[in-house]
Amino acid sequence: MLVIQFPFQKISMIKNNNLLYALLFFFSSILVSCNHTEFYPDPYDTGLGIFSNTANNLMSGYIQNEPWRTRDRKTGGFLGTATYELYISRQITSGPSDNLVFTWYVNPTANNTLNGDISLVLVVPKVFGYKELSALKGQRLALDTLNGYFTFSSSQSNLGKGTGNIYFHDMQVDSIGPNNFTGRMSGLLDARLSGNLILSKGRFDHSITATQIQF
Amino acid sequence: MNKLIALIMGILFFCNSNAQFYVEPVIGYQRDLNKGSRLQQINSAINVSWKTGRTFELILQGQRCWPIAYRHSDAAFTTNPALPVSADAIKTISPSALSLLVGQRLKLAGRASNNSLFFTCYLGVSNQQIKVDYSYDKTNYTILNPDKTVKETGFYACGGIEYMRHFKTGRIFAQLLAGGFIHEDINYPNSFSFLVPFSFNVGYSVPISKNKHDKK
Repeated sequence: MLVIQFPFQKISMIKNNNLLYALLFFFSSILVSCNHTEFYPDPYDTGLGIFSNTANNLMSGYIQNEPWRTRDRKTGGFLGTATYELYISRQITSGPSDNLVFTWYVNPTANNTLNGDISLVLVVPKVFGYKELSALKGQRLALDTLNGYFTFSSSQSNLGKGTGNIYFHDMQVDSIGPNNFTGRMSGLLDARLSGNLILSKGRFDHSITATQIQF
Repeated sequence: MNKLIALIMGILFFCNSNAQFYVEPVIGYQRDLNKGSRLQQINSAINVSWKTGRTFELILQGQRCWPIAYRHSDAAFTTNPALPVSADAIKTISPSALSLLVGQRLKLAGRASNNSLFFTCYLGVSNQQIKVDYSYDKTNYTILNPDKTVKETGFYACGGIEYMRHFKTGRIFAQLLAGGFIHEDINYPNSFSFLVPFSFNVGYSVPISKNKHDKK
């Protein structure tokens, strides 16, 4: 009787172990969020990430010659809150054109003057859609506050419009359903933010999920 | 691991009092077997060989791999409206290595002739450096996906086939070897990996003393 029971007990133990591992994996995947940001230090510009087009999900640059970078993109924690480093939204205005707003969220540092979010506001036609957004690929724009501008906003200050330049090395947005888009973007930027803050050697590289883009 | 190798060498060497010594200058050419890689090196080495029997030799090798500079053009970009949006950044990659290896020759064929074929393999420690230099307008332009210099020391292994011709005054040999780091990897998105060299080397064995094993 014992000889017959033993294999069943063993199988039962194995099944219990598998169940335990499955439950552990399930609960850990619920609790643990994943970091989708890759920071590869630029060997030539100290403190900045490299200029890449491999979806490192990072923007970095110098503000007043101090390194500034976006926060990490974290997703996957079922109970935790997902954080994204970039959001793209379209602001409908009552005027003849709308605004397309790219907002990069800061990764806070000890230097409070740098702890602000950078926004790029592009003036776009009312008919602007995701296909027109993709047409930005390869374009370099000089922003003079009339066709677009940069802003820097922190808890301490909300600065006005700043001039600058941006180069979209890559910009690809695809529709995956009604008002649902994914894509990628990478490029370079520099800006003279108001309040005498200068952003230099800025570079960005993002994959764009449906959560991050709202038209 | 190093202690084990030293112990094995010591036992094999001292157990055979008739061991034949050779000093072997080696020169060769090697290129990287990694997919898409065009990295090449000039290979130089000094072997000290102990022939402990008719079919087996132990080798201590000091090896230096000299870089053959590989030039390539990467793209750099700028936001400055006064300049062209893109420009070439000339990239020079120079791979070099310094290794200390312990190896063996195991005779596969040619016991009764002046021509022999060996299986040869080496194991040891290697220091590889792949140096990257860029030439471009660093003030105004930023390189897309830049490579960076990497340097690593780790365990290295290689092996292959060796042909040897025996003369009265020594031995001449040619070898085809392939090798690489055992587990080292680059934690950076470079366009290259540590080399997996495929090498063709030639060398000459200079006998230090002659004895009964040095017939073939």
